[in-house]
Amino acid sequence: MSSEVTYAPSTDAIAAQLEGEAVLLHLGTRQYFRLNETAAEVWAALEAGVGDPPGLTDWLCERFDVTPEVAGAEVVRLLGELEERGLVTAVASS
Amino acid sequence: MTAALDRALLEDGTLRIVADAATETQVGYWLPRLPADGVDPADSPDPADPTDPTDPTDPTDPARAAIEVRLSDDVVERPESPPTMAIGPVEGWIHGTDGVTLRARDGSVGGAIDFVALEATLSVTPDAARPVATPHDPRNAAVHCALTLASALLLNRMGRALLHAAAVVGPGGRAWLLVGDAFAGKTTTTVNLIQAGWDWVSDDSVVLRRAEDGSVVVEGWPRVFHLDRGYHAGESTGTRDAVDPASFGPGRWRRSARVAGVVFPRVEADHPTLATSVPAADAFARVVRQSPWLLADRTVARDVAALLTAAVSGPRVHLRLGRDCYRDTARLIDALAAGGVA
Repeated sequence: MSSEVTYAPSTDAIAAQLEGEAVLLHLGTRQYFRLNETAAEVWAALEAGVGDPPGLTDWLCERFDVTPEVAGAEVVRLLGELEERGLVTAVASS
Repeated sequence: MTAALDRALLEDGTLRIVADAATETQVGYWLPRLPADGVDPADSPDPADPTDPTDPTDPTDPARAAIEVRLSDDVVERPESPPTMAIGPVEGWIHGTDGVTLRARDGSVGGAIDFVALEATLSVTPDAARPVATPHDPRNAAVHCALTLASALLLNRMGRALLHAAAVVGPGGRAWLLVGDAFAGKTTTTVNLIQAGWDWVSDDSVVLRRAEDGSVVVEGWPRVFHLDRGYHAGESTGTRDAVDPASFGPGRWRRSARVAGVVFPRVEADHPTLATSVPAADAFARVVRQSPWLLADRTVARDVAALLTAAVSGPRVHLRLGRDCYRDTARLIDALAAGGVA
């Protein structure tokens, strides 16, 4: 039996999408995080319900001229940062 | 309660404030200087004028929300949990979707906001209600901050946003928000632009709302301007005096106008005046930072964020204010025009 981790925006996070960029605000800590164009796309995917890393990688590959390897690494790195800051929640599903 | 003061705070009459005789003076210090307070409505554009860019709404709309201020010896009990927010000496606790408890740290002002009824009730002790708080400043800070928080949180529930910002109206009839810290140059810029013929909405507090077409309208909560004492000498002294903005004309007061964009002024006296573009994400963060109550109420935080996003979707300019524009309005106008602000 294998387990996968999916991610969803935290209820503490609020996003403003602005001209290809995004600002995330953590309502608890009141800290801001500015997302670049790639990260803003990942956030848009998370808000659209795409929460698994392979799905997020596909999402980026469809929108940017990037290999799955590079996109996948960026997704993993970004999800780690977002989780560390309490902006996404991870759910293990089996 | 017998109301000695009863005023509409918004153009469409949907938010009112009432106060009893004992608290009337302190509430009056906070009250925006709207037409009923002595500003001649004839000096503002005619709402029936089709060329007027404002978004007039029916002034006979019934009040949807109200703030009531009254004298009381009762001290509101401080909740045991940490406050959700604090502005000056006043702390606030937001209780989910239901309402808010407000309390000055010294207990002199307290109250509650009922989000269902859209009513805020503030109680003020006799000491805090005294007409003169200190020899240097007649305003009681706790009363002032409690009124600001109560109105800001009610406005959020009404789909509006109270901003710590100035607003001016350029020759094109659209408003520019001026957002910045105290002493950033908001009032100086506003006065300079009034002298250059721009109209003004407020130099310190404004309310944003959506128009029916989706654009953002700014409505002023003007108060007495406080201008650097060295303004006329072209110097910055750090000491401010109260001034009447009308005396700087020809620009005139407008109650509201559609928003064109945002200007972030900052005084850097030793550098030439210059306007440069600000990324949208930075602009959003700067606007929220100036008004910490904006996203405090989680129930409506996303709606407020959407309104602010729309407000910063136009041109955004950082305005570096050098000494070269202190008494040279043409220099200021040129710099703003170069940044797309007109």
